[in-house]
Amino acid sequence: MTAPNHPHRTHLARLLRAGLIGLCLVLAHVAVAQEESGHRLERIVAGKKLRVCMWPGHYSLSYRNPRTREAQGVDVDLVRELASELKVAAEFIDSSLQQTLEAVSAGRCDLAITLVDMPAPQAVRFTTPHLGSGIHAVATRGSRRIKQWDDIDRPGVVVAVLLGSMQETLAFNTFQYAQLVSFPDEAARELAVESGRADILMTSYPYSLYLVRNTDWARMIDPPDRSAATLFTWAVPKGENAWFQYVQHFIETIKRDGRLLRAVQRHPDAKPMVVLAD
Amino acid sequence: MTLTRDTMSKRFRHLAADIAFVAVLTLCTALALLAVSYNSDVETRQQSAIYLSMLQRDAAFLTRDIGKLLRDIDRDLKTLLDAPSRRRGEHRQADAFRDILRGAPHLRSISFVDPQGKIAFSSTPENIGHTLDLNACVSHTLTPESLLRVCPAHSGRDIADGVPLTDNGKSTPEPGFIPITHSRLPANGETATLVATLNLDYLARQAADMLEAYGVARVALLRADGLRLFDTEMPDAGLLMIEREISRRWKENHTGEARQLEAIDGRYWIVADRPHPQLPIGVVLAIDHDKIMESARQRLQTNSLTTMLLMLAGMICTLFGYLFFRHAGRREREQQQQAEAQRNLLESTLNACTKAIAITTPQGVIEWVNPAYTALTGYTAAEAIGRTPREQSKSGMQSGSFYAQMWQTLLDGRIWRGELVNRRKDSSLYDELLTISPALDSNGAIRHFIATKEDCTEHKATREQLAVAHSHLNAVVENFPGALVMEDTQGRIVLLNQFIFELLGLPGTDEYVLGKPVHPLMLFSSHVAEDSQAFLDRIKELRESARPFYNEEIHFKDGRWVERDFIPIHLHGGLIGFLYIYRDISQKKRHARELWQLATSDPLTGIQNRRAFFEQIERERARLIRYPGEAALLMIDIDYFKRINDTHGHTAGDAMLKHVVQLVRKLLRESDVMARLGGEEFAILLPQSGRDGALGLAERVRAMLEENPLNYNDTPIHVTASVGVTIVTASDSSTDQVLSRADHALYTAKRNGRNRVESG
Repeated sequence: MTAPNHPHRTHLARLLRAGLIGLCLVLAHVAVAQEESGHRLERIVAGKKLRVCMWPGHYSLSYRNPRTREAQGVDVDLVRELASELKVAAEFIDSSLQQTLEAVSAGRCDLAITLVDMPAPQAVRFTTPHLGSGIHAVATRGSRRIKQWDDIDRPGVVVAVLLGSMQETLAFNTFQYAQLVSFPDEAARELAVESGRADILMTSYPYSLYLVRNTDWARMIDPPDRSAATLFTWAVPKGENAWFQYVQHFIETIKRDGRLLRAVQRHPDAKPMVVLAD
Repeated sequence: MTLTRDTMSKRFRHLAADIAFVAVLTLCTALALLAVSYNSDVETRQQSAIYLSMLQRDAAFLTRDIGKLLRDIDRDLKTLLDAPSRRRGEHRQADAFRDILRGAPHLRSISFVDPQGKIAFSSTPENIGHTLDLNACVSHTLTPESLLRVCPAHSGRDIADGVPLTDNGKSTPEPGFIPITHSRLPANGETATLVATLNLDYLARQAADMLEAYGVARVALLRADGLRLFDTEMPDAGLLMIEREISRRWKENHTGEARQLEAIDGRYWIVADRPHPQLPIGVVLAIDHDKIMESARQRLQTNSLTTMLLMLAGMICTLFGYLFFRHAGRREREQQQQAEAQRNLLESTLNACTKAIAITTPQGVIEWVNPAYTALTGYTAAEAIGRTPREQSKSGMQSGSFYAQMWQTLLDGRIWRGELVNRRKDSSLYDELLTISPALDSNGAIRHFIATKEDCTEHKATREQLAVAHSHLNAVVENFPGALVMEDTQGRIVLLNQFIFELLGLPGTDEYVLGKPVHPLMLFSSHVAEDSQAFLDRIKELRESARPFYNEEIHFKDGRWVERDFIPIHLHGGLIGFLYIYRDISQKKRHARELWQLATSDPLTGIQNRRAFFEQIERERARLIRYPGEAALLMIDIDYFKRINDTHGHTAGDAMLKHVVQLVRKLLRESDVMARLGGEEFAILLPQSGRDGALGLAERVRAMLEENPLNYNDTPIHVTASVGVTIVTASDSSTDQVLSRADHALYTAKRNGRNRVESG
């Protein structure tokens, strides 16, 4: 038998074939794209694992017990609760204070916990803040000059803050006589106080607790009244709507049904934390 | 109770003992107190010594640590000076400084300083241009080509605003720093000097850690020349002087000491100082002795107090114990004395007892005898004790089995009583009443035998006599011609013989035996008697009267007559019972009646005889005197009786007499009495009858006789009688008078023709 000899019919077939292949490719791409984003929740459930990024230094909220190396804290408990609801295991991954957000935005973690609420970078979505803490001051143990909050706002006192932080703004607005010095990172800020270049530093409660527990020079000074100046929140990678809704819904639910309150009550260290209602 | 010398000395002794004891106690307490206080002293001094050594050690550690710190700073600065980046310009220099500072958080800043002290370059830009007075620093060569300088403490944040403290008059500033310089001595003479500012807060932290241990202590860092670089608190004048003295000593001989010092103001300090062997610094640690010892002293005081209280309590308890035991001892002695007295009393009692008592062992060996024993057996206590009764007083009159049975009873734990014959010491025999009781101990085992002996010879004799008398009595009683019943005052039968049963017809039951109540017997007797109630009443009457009554006749229902003697029995003037003697007199009674009958009746006719009739008349007459009335007397004489006798024989004559009596009797009343006065002479006494009545009767009698002949051997024999009637009155002075009147009437009847009645 000889091949068919309709030229336009052969061209059409070839076109059709190409089109079909193209469609398939598009579909495949779409499928792949879908796989990459929007199905995190399903993957978590299927894989029976929830990867959580945290900086293990937010004492009372999420930290690692130096002796047992176990993740502990209010946020840790809440994540475990979330994981048990999904019937998956929670895996806690340590990262640096700066790297946590990046890990989540890159998608290496499903969830980042205990993040200070700030204008969010593009690749993450913050849940509504559920806990708040006031601004605490940390001075040296040997200081006899600065013993309580009222001693801070005096001439000659140098206050160290993190550049661009909410504390910087707050200190700037609060203190009239004390001199404010901003530092680019936490280490520089702490070094200044330890060496005496600055007298106190301003930070959140969990971080203050971290300094007190992990250095031999730090001493915490409580603010005169409770506030929720610093808000703590969780973050999920952007583009995971279902996953985000799930976590968001979880946060809202635990606020209402008292689980958040109970989790805070379980940790005596977390007493100064403010439980946000809505 | 008189106080004898004995009791006096005893009392004195007791008192002395008490005093001695109290003295001993006091002494012990005093010693204990001394010991406690000595112990406190020792402890206090030990505590001080401990603090001293602790302080000394801590001073050594602190000095070493600070020395290490200075050496580290020196090394860091040396590294910076050696660094090639130094030659690359300021930018690199700043980075180098920053790197070092990051690793040395105790340093505030690092700056380059020229030989004049002016800051050329600094990690803290504000420092540039300011001057550091290098002359005030103390230098020290750690290595041949380098120089370390320790400058005075500055107040302020950094060299820019730093003010040196060159005398010891001010306390450690905050913020403050100590500049430490490191100079390189180059070959060409130009030194390169770096200065690092040491954060005083760092030293403060170190000191704070150390102070934690003591609570009240002072840490000071001095420079070798005596300048104070750092202290935790401003020293007072006294301590200041101490520090001066310490720095003087350091200069002289470089040694550290730990001492307890008294400052000029009187405060006691424990001070430990330690100069660094190489570096121009030293540490002085001081603690307020009183304060630090305060807590220790308090503790000691509490302990001492507790100890003393315990001791005191112990002493008091001992005292009480002593008093208690002494009291108890005294009481026990008293009790013993009492027991002793009681024993003596008991012994005296036994000795006074008239019965012979011997106490033997369970084997029968005599342990003790009383005087009565000696009186009885003749053996004294000395002779008796140690022997057995058997060997001493055996008479041989008792058999072996007798003793065997005795022993059996005793060994069973029972009391044995019996009589035996024993031999006295003088070999005379006597009857003995022996009672042996076993004395048991608390477990029930036999500890002793107590034998009580009594001479019962006399008693035995008496008993025999009594037995003899009793048998005599019994013989009499059993053979007595009569029934005997004897009762005691309780109404029990004491004695009775067989005849009572026969007499009363009693069954011979156990009911009527000795000891039983007599009442049933009496009751039975009463039923046998004709009038039961009268019988019982009479008995009661007799008992109450308690006087003898003899020959009382009792008529029985069965017709028998019984005579009773009632005899009350007396002993020593008191009534102990009643004796009843019963005799059956039925026979006697019958005989008596027969005799009487014979005496008063006519044998042939059976009617009264003359004598009895006359008595009757007499009685009637006497009655008439008392009770007014009349009685009539009829004299009847049978007509021609002789002729009947002659005609028909004497037998017929007797028959005729009987016939007449028979006939006349029919006409008589109950109360009328007919009598035969003589051969053919009869009389009738009519009590309570008047003349008319009597005449009437007399006529009837005459008629009766006339009309009823006797039928004798089928032959009628006719008979008539003459009757004389008279009245018996009270005025009749004698029976003869009545009789003669009646006789006269009869004579009249006879004279007037016989077979007729005439009254007179």
